[in-house]
Amino acid sequence: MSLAEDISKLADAPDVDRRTDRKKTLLQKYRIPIQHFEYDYIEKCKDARELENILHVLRSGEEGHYPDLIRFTEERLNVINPKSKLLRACCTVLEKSSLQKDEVEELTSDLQYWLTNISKKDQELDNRKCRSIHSDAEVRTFKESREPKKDSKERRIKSTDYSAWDKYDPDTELLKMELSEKKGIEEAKKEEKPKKKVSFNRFATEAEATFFSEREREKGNEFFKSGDYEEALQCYNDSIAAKANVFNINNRAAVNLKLKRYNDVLSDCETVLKLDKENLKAQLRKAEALENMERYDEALRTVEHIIEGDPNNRRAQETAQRLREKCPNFGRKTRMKIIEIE
Amino acid sequence: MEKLQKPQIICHQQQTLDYAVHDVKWMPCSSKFVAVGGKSNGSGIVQIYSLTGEGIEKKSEFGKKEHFKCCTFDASSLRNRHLATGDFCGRLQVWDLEDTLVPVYKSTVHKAVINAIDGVSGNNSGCGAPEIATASRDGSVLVWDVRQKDMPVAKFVAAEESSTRDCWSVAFGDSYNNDERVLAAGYDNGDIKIFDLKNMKVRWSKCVKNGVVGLQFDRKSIPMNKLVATTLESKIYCFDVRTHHPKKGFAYVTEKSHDSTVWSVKHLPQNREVFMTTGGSGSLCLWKYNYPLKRVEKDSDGLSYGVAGEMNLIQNCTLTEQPITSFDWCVDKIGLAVCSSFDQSIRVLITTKLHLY
Repeated sequence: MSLAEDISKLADAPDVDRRTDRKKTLLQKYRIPIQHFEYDYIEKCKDARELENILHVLRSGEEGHYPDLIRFTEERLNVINPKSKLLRACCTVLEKSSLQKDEVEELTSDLQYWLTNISKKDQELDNRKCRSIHSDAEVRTFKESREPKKDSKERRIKSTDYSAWDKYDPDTELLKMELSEKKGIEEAKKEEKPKKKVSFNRFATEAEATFFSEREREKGNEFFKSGDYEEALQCYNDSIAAKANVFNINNRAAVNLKLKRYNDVLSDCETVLKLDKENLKAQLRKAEALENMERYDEALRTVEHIIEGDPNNRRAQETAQRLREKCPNFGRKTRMKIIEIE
Repeated sequence: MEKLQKPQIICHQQQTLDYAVHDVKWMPCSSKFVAVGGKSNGSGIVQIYSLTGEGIEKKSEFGKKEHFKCCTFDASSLRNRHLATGDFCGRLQVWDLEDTLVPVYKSTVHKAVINAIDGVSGNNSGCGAPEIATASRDGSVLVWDVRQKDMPVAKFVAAEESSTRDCWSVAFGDSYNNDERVLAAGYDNGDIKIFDLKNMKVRWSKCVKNGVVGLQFDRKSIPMNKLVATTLESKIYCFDVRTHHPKKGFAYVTEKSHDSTVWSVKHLPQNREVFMTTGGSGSLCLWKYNYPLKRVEKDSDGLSYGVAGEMNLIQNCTLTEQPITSFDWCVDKIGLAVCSSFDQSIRVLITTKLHLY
């Protein structure tokens, strides 16, 4: 069959479809010429959509079973569009027996470490058990909400009710519709969200403070990832207020760096470095903040300190490179002069 | 290499039970979890298990008259960790797990089985009062504050008796300060409604055609961000609920998976963009939501509307042949989870490499 014939067949196809709507096979539905079901064509096909359709037809078995061609099409689709829904494979949940020995050991020791840790906190909470409920929020006053009743008698005018139609003014109805629409739009414009106000309860136990601090830090990380830096900063502030540690202060430094509040970055990094002298992330962030504050000499000194400890750190190397261009004078003083003596 | 980077779901421990288990929940800040359900003679049972180095160990149990359908720890503080339960005849009870003779709080306002329960603000300061929400077959959604006896603090019912639908799922959200809070409810006819608890009105409603079995906001204590609904007929809907447009509503993305009812959706406590759905065919699907490049666009009137992202399937596994009816992540340890299935067993699962997402 030539290409021209194919095209004419495709043009005729809609009429055929309408008549035999129910009996349509997948092949007819996708309108793929039968000669496309072939290794050469599939190998060259760059259209993910068509490959998916071909695979769908092949898997349905309507045109016969071709296991090797299916596999071949799957492989091709994996090259063109690895995220295709048709490539989703289902496996079984792994049993521990099917894992490598070292993997099992790693999992068990990790879990064991967590178990001993968490039982301590659990114990602390049990010892300080309290039955009363504290909350800074009032009990809600009872309200009941019923959904607005729908008018059961529809106000639709019958087509034969001529006197009613005489009274009907399309212009006012249109105006009414427009007005209600505008109202909706104005309401949407008005909406402005108030900020979160946090009043801190003192935590009675260490476990509670750590728990709250961890949750807030995780929330902060999520906001950070989705680019909501102001919200992230708020979460990290809450986390630090509950219980400060290297991780949440370090994260706050990262947010402040994004928000270009370099003074805050510096003070956070200094705090971290007091707790953990060789903290890599804090040193890097400190260098970056100093660079943006145009204190190149100090920045370069910090970066070079990182490189001393970890010569393969790419980010540090790049920053150092950049900084050296900006302050060519750095380090000159230490260079020794070699003078020839006769 | 790509394969090695993918999270793997591992069945760590398995325990067969002699009763039908309806719900499982981790107890926060501990290595313990509870399983609730009922025996074939109609009586209800709550069991407390502890995960130890050797396996799962039963700590204690107590029985009551009716099957327990659902439970939550989310409305109680870390220092009391009371368990709120809903049972087959509509009772809401709150238990002190060390003294289970009588509940510390109870109510019998619901006239039929409580299908779903959710709690909020138990261990969060500055995010409103601790409250419990219950959804029942009698069609009402009630909100409770354990400081107020016998009466709910809010009630949502259909306008007329005839239009009452079976309410299957309920979830708190938007509770980011002391005033704001919403409650989402899913019904058997496919309706999803978001009730505004501050202004006591329906803020949004939508019909997704199939009964809504599972519902969860990605986080309760942030301005509402995403809402995931799972339904009969294998559909999963993910709504971006941050931006509402008066005409377009919320942007959403939908996926088909599990080839059967999708029973529940649970967001990973350590990363809100990752969530697990459990299916009637005994399968587990791990998803990652990817935001679009720009989440909010402006239309010709200058109004903002949301843009949906995409759901990326990162793992798809079969665990058993029976439906997995409940699933719960452990808040304190990333990747640790427990689930229950109709084959009368509970399993502790470990999902690896989740920190990479």
